[in-house]
Amino acid sequence: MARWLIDMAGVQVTVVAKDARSHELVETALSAMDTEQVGSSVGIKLTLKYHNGFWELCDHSNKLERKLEQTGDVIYHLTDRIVFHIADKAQNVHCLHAASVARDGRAIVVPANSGAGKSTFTTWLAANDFDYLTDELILVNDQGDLSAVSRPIQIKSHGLNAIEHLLKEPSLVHKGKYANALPIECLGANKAQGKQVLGLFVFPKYSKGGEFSFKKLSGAEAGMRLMANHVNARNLEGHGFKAMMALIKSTPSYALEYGGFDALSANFCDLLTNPLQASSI
Amino acid sequence: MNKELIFKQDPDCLVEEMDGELLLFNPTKATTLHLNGPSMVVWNLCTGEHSVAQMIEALQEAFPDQAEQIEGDVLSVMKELKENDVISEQVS
Repeated sequence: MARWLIDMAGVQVTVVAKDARSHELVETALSAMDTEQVGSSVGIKLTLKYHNGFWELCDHSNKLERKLEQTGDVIYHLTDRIVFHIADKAQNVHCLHAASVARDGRAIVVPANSGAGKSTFTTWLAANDFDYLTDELILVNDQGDLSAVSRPIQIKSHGLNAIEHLLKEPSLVHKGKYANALPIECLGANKAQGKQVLGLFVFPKYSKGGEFSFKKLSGAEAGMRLMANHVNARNLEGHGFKAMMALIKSTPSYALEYGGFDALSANFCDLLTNPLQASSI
Repeated sequence: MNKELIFKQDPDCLVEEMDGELLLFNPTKATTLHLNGPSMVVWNLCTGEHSVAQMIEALQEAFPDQAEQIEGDVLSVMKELKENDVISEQVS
């Protein structure tokens, strides 16, 4: 039996692997997260056990149990529970439903609801030499310092075709009925190291076959979109509104609309990098 | 909408002005509303002192060349403000 502790923003989650196969899969699921191996469980306990051809995942905080067949689904549900508990109980930080990548210590944060193409866009960014932070949850303090719940990128089962050409090591993908888990190694990408500072907001909207556009947003337009993806506002003083508006005022914000990767030409990286660099001046 | 009604801004609503635009956050519903141009003017007139009809009349006097469309615009903005619970009827 092995245990890993995730300790972020005052929330402690222990993941327990009960057998060798579970150990290997939990290691993959948590490979990009800051964790510590511990001798006993602390805080919220999640357990994983392989038994009779199925993975049994249990969240002991609410007795939620899942019996899963495929490793992609196990990684999805396991990391989803971690994300949920951190977003639900985090203290003194703003939790944003957002993906993020970074370059030279400055982060691009991509807030969006499920279905907006956040993970797919993040996959493209990570495959194009941006360092990976997360595809799901960002924690920001009032100074703009970031931390991320880093997990393998989750691509819905029907979405794998769209990113297959970006894979350098397809054999590392964990497939699932609901979601596929892409450890960043399968993209040849790196995890962002060290302190990251907020540099740019990009609000994506994918629509199949849609025209490409990348437009600067006014502060109020960006603020409205950001608040729609602030997931723990209820736990914060003044609902985090003033603090988020301060971040918006000091951070360039863009709306991205695209209909596929073909629309994201090679110079799109420059379109992202230029305001990212300008924000550091 | 009854144009004789008088509305006031919800005091619990959080307001941020940015680059000449307004963002209103309703903490109860956790919704955000973006106002600019004419919708900001209407919001600023929701002081609990003027009826909707008086607001329309004042704006038609101030912008006579747009008098015809002002009533529809004001009613549309008032509907949006009311639906987002950032204004409430002034009870006398």
